[in-house]
Amino acid sequence: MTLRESLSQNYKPIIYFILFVLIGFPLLHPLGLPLPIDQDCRDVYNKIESLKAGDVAVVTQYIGGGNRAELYPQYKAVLEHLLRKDGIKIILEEAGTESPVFSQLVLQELNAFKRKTYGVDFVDLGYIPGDEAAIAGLCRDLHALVSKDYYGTPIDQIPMLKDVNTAKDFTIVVDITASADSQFWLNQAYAPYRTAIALGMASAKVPDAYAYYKAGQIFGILESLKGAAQYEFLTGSPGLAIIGMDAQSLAHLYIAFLIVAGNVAFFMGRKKK
Amino acid sequence: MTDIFVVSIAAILALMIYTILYRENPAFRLGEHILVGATVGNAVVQAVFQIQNVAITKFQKGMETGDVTGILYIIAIILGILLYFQFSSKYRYVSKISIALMLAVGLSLSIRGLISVNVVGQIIGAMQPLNSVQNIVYLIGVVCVLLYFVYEKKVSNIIGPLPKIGRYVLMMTMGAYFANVLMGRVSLVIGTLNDLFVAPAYYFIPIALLIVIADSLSRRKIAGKKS
Repeated sequence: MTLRESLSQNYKPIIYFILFVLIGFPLLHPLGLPLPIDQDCRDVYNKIESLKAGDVAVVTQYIGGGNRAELYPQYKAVLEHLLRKDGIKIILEEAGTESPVFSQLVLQELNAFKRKTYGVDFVDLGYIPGDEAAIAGLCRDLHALVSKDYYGTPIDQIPMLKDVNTAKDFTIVVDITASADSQFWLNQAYAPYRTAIALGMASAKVPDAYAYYKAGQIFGILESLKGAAQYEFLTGSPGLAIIGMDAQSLAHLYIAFLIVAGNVAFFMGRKKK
Repeated sequence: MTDIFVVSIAAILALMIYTILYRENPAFRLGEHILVGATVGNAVVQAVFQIQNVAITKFQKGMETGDVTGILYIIAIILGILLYFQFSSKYRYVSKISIALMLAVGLSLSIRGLISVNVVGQIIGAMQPLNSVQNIVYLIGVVCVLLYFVYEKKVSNIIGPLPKIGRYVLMMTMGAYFANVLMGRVSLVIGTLNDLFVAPAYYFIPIALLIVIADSLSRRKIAGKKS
């Protein structure tokens, strides 16, 4: 069998098996490969680090079962950083029907209810349907749009929201999403109110976000699992994302090798014809 | 005890879905249908609660207090009900009132921000000082890509090879998109494996492998008998 013939064989099960081994091994035995920090991630960290007591941080997310692996570690890392700061008012908002589950999970995992006081330091508004219209309403008049928080408490009875009415009162917005709602926040919060926005993106959406970052319309980006790992590193609280980066690096090397091998087979086949 | 049950169910479902890598099979289809059913069920429940919170509660409150803004929520409720005329071939046109309104509101809401962010903001953002190699490459890329979309023949003769450079820049951008999608897919596998590498989830991995191997061997045997 020639090299071309052997490269042209259907190795699908073997390819998947090797991929699973390459991803699985570093998860069980981390290799400790170097993790450079991107400037866009550092910018998010620096901005949150510069927040002062009384500042309002809105953390909105559209996490679902399909993108949980990429976005949940980002959400957890950003909230961990915010919870460490004193006097910051944290508003959680969810844009997807599955998303409230992940807010409850992260608050539980970060022990938020013991570290901070609910209603004074942080609040969960729950799922707000309506996409761009909902975000527009939230930015124009939060109290008019939302009547109750996730737990059913009337918004008017939540002390930290008394002086928070429009997007002008939001110091920063961190939108963690794989969907188009990042564009909605830019349209409804950045364009009319110049609210500072950072995006935590699923990897497929990152190239879109770079155009806004380069133009100075957002102050930072968290790029998929890589961004989460970098943020975990910056906050000094390593989690699943950092462990996952070794697996990611090995998988990328392997896929790059497969692409080269596929191209070699293709060009050798064409030459023979 | 609940945690063990939840982790086990999650592991079994994840492994059922991954069996598609071997071949199309009933376990995969069952897992797929459970996922779709659970997602839709959750969305319906959320939607019902939201209609109650956003519209019905405010309308009831408005009726009790005489607040007109609250009473006006009845319009939203009626428009929402009109959408269900989609299911009637005779009265489908009624639902178009709500659809037209939704489109109009959506467009008018987004157009203000879109022009400011995606047109004006991006043009300003593209005007970078030419003080670094990165900015020079960025400017050349923007100009060449824009020229790639100029189809006027006379103009094409003047600008020479620049559209071709634009095409290469576009191809590199597609490459970046592809690489990012790939990174996302690998991240999903990492997330799933992270969940599978905890007790008692990992006990199900060898069981799943044995089932796949047994199925593969039995299929080979049947195929051998037939031939």
